Amino acid sequence: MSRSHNASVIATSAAPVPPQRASVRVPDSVQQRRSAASLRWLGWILPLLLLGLIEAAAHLGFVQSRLLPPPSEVAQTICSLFGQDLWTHVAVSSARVVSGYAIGAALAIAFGLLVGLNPYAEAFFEPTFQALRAIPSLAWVPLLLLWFGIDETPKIVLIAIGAFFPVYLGLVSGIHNADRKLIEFGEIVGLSRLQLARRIVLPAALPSLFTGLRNGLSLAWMFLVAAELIAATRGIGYLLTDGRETSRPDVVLAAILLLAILGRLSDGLLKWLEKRKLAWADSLATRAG
Amino acid sequence: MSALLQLHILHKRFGDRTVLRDVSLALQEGEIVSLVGASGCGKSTLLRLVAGLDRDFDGSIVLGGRRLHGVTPEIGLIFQEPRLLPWLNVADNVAFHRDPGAVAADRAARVASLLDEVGLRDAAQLLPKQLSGGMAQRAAIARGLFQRPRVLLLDEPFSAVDALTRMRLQDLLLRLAHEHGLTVLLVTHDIDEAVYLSDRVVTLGQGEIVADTAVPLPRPRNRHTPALAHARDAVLQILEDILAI
Repeated sequence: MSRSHNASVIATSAAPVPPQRASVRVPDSVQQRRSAASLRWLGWILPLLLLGLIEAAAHLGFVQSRLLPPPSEVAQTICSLFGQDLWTHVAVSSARVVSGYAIGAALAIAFGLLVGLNPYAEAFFEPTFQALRAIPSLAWVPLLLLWFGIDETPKIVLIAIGAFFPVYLGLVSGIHNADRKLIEFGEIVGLSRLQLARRIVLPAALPSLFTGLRNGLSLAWMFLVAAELIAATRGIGYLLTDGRETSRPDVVLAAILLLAILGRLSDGLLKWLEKRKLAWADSLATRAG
Repeated sequence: MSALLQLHILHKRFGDRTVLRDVSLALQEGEIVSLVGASGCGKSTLLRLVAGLDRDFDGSIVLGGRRLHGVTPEIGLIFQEPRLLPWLNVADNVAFHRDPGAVAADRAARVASLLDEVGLRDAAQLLPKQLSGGMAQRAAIARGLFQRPRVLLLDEPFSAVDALTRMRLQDLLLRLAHEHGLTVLLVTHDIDEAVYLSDRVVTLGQGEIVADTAVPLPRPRNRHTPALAHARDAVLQILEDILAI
């Protein structure tokens, strides 16, 4: 038989293979971080190009500065606003976002755990949450004003509603998509249902939860503007209204720029936390460092 | 001498389909038995029943004279994929236990000893994503031994690694089974692997045991001795007969 013939030919290498200490292979994360950092400057090209074009177009008279003021004028406006009460507006808006987001995200995590881990809770809550999720943000405003007046409460509630659904959906989806094979491993170790949830399902759901948290934060800033545009005497949304009413597009643009900066900073903070907590994830994002 | 592990599976059904029928198997202490057979013949299902992952069957599983009703730390299971928890490093994966407090006292020493045995002493702090396929399966083997099982079940554990790594892992398993006094039930598609590792090769066909072939060769075995090739050909002949039916 050809099989036994082959066996005799390679008999010299047939002895049991000695156990070998495995060599440790660690990815060169330092090099990856360097290459990621070296690409970061690419992101500055488009905004700088646009700013330069707008500045040139305004100076050359292609656009009217009462409609689109040049970036230099917007910068001057921001500087002058710093001399007035810009910090107050920034602080008030930030406090509203932090409060509303904290409440919305905390409730979303509580309900997400309940719905994700308990089929009875899922059957009970999920249809209602899906219906509530479909309501556009601005539709809540009249009702919240009727219920809570024009003070801080309706603004914070609106922001909490905005933050709630992305975080809730992210967590529920993460729990439902936890790797069945890892859960089976937990069962063979003898974990109880509660231990399985705490030690396997929840860590496995973390990447999806972080995606929800970041989306929720982005919506929190969006809902802040909706709340402050309608009923506010302070805050960045109020600056937008004030700029429109006084025909000051430079103030409007300054407020938009501030919202972009604050949104980017807060998202950067969450992204940093995500990278720290999900360093174990074998994904392109964690590989890029 | 009574067997350490005794299986009597009268019926195991998935809906209307019977996947195991009248399966009786006894493993002596320290014995290594392989289960072979065509895909879908019920090998992995049988292993899941023994592991306690599936309790919906007619029959009994007895370990050391005691009937089992679910998972027990006395039986360890190593899967086809390493199934390491990606958020824990190798040491924490190996020491993953139902009751961490109960193993806290000798945890560090035991993890170090097991990692040393599987050749991963320097990899204790690495995350699973930093391991090669062979290293990850070594870590899974170390984890399977952490609870000090008497019986180790393996479901095609070396099928996803290259040929050289597979041979190393097979020899590692033999060494560990000997040193830890393990009784081993192994599911494999690889007939060479089955006859090299096992004292007996049990062939399943259509949910029934169709052959129980002894491999009475001394250890350590040479992978290419005529006797081993003869045992392999005998098992292959049985499989070919099943296919011919």
